[in-house]
Amino acid sequence: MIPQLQQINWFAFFNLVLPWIVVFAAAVITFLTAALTEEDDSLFIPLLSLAAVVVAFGISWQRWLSPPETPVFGMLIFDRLAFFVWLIVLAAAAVSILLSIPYLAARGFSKPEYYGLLLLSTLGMGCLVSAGDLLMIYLGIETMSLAVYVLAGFLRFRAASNEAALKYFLIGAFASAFLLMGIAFIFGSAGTTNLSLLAERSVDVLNSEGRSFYLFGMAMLLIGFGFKVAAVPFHAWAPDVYDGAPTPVTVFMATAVKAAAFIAFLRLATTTFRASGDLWIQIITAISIVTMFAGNLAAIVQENIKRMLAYSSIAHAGYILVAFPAIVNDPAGAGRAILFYLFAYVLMTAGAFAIVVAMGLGEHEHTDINHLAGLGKRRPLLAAALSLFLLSLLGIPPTVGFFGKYYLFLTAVKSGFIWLVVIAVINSALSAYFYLRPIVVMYFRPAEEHLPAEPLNPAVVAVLAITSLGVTYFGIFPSNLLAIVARSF
Amino acid sequence: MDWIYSHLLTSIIFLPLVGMVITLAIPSRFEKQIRVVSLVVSSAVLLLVAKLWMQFQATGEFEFMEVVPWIPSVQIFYRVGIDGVALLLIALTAFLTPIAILASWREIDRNVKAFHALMLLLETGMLGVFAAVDIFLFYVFWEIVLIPMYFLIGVWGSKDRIRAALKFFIFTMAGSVLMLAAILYGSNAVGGSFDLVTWYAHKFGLMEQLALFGAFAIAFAIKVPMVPFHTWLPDAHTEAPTAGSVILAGVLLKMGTYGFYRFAMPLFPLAVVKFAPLILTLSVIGIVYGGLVAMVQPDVKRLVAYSSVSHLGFVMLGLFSLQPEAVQGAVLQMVNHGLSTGALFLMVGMLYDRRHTRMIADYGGVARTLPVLAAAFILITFSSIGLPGLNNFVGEFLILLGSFQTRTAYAAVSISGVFISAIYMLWAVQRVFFGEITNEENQKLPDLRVREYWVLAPIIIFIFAIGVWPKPWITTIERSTNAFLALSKRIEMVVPAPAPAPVTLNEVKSPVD
Repeated sequence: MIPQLQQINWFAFFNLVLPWIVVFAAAVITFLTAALTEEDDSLFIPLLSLAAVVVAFGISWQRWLSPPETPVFGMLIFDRLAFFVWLIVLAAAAVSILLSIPYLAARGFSKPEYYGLLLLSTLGMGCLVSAGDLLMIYLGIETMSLAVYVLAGFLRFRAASNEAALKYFLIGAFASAFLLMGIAFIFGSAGTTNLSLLAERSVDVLNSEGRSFYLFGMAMLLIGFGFKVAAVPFHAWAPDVYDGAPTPVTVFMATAVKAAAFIAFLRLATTTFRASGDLWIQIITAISIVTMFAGNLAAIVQENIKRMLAYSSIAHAGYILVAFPAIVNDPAGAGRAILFYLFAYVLMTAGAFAIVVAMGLGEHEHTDINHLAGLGKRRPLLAAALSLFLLSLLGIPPTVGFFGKYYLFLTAVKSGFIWLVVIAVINSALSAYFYLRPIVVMYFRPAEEHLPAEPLNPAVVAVLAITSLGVTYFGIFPSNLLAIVARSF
Repeated sequence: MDWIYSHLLTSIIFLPLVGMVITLAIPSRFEKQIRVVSLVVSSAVLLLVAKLWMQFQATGEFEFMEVVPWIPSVQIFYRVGIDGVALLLIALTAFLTPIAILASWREIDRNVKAFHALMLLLETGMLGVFAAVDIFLFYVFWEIVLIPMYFLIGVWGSKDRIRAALKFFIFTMAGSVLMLAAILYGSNAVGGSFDLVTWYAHKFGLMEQLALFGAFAIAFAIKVPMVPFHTWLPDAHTEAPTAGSVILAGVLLKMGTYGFYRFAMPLFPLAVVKFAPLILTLSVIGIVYGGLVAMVQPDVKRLVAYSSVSHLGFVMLGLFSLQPEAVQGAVLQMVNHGLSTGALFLMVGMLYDRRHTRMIADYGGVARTLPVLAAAFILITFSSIGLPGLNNFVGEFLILLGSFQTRTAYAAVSISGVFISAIYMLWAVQRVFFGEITNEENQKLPDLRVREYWVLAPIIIFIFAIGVWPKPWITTIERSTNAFLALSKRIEMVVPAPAPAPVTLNEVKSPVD
């Protein structure tokens, strides 16, 4: 039942979307400042953006604690799930802003509009996480992506950055077309774009003559989301874009964009796709398997740590997809496992990329894995932190990555997808090879040249402290996080 | 203090971790202090283990049980407890760690802080593996062990260390992820619990048993290592620093055999019956093959490494003979191998420290310059080849005595392993220590230092103690191994399997009894 507009309590609505408004207001101020001032490298704009994100985080946390009794407002749903993922997205945005400050300063390109775009993209994700309608999902994805296209090419003096932006834009626009096409077909066959109505009607539609149109629409949506979460065979853009984009933007894409897209996908899966049962399970299983293998095998041969992490993030999308088939039998369990994993994934990926940023603050950007040589001696804490994140990505206890993986696979096993889990664990073993390589280089090999140890930037230190604490704390004591996740889904 | 005594097992497991934190807090330029702190902490662990031993009742049940909810929403508990076998292996771990730290006093001269922190982390992991009664907890400790050992080999190892470390990691990881899949499936089958006792009580179907046993067995067989999964071992042992080799051979390999003892065999008795011929064959192949390959090694450290393959084959033979004496012998042999091979690696390290070579051909006649070291080496060699009156004799004798009753053919072939071990060890001793001094550099070598006496003396004492009077050791484990046998020989729980031919009682019973 969709409440009609006149029934909506507007005060309650604005109260709910306050965090969204804060982010939006900060974005507007940022753009205005960019237009009005010449001064580029003031800390005012980044700190303002950061403050807006932190305030939005605080308010959203309050909203998570006491969610509204009627969470549905037209096309938007303000349930705990939305707030939880929104919190993850905000945290990832904060990390990106923090990392951007030293990164852009080192390149002498601290433009205010950068932060405005980042905030706008965050706002788009805000729409995406609480989307209760296919059109809202589309709107959210577009708002999010458009800003990120520009961000990917923000370092316009670098050819790689331009290439990344162009590639991302072309492929992203292509994917959006698929999404829109899918939405049109689903609307045509089911007569609605509202997710909860679709959930009610899908069984009937699948038994009617509209079946093939509905399935076609679903396939189009799947392709669109496949592009957005970089699942094989729609992943080819990811390594180039992750590599070419400014590293803080890569962090943003690998964490926030992925989390938001996955949550919209999850909402879609729990409502629209669930009804089609076996067919959907087979397709998702196949995508999951090829995504894991392609990500892990390709990561093995990478020499560049950004590309390696890009392939690793493809592989992790594959791991997350392992829990998706379980949605048919056990939506709550699967949803929780996916949420937990997304949280874990964002934490460890942000940490790993933060170190890439820290490595790239000097005169050269060191993204070749061999440049890490001797880091264990030169920067013991940085090397230890990178090892921690890599081991967490690999899934070694007691890190949050291990428990997240464990929980995902447990859900799949509970629903009977044992072979899928066996393939997934074999992939885990495969991934040991490339996750260990940076560790080998950092600790086991002597440094080829003697690089001076530059002092660590406080912003990077803050990000590393938070992420490494999170990775270990939630790895050893996942109970609290599990409780939060269980209340969110 | 009261808390420590009332939570003795937990204190033992986590005291090294506390030591690690203290070590990390000391600035790295205070190398001496770091060494002393880690030695003191690991010795304190040994004292606590002594207290544990004193209070141990040898009932055959899990004692010193501590159960604390860890992740209650998914039924994961911190659940530790020990039976006699776990106690023995915990004692071995606590005994070898301070010795390994003491042995590294001179050898480890860079990254001293990291080395000792990792050694202490490793000790916590190993103690946890032997004390865990919750399968999830066991897996966590099992994986924790991997990381410090990987670093120990990779950072402080010799020339080919990177390849050896990677090989060690990938092999172990490949096995343990399959075990993780099996744990997930098993816990789902028993209703979400990870309690080992609940698992023991659950009746798994035949196909389930075969698949789960297979997954567990591969993980453990890689660790033991059994032929054909042994190829990581010679590299890892040879490239690791002395302390790493001692712990690898002394304790880590026992994690594999302990895994069979605690999990794979008692949980899946039907699969044990089905797989026994295969595993026994592989064990016997390991005994003979390990010995033959050891014989032709030009590198004395590699020789000792291959001898482990052979010795661990005996342990597996004992376990899968499913006969009381053989199992007791196997458990005792786990400890014996830890002592003897640990000591051999220590002495190879001492030789290397003096001559900076591990090639047998570079030595010759060093008994003249190093009489005490030579005497100790010969004594340990006698222990290793099973001379009566020394520890290995007791273990091997019990294993052969037991396995001859149930597995005569396998036992008969494996006897050749005893001869082969005598050949390769004595031949190596002869080439290293006796004959004329052909190499000028062997003319002037300093004999054992005071510290090295302290390293070797405790091990030698126990080698004699077990060899001369094995009774108390057997008594400690007897009831536990009986409980193990009772579980591993359960065959009444045959559930009619859905597809394959049903296993009848007679068919199953005949090879066992």
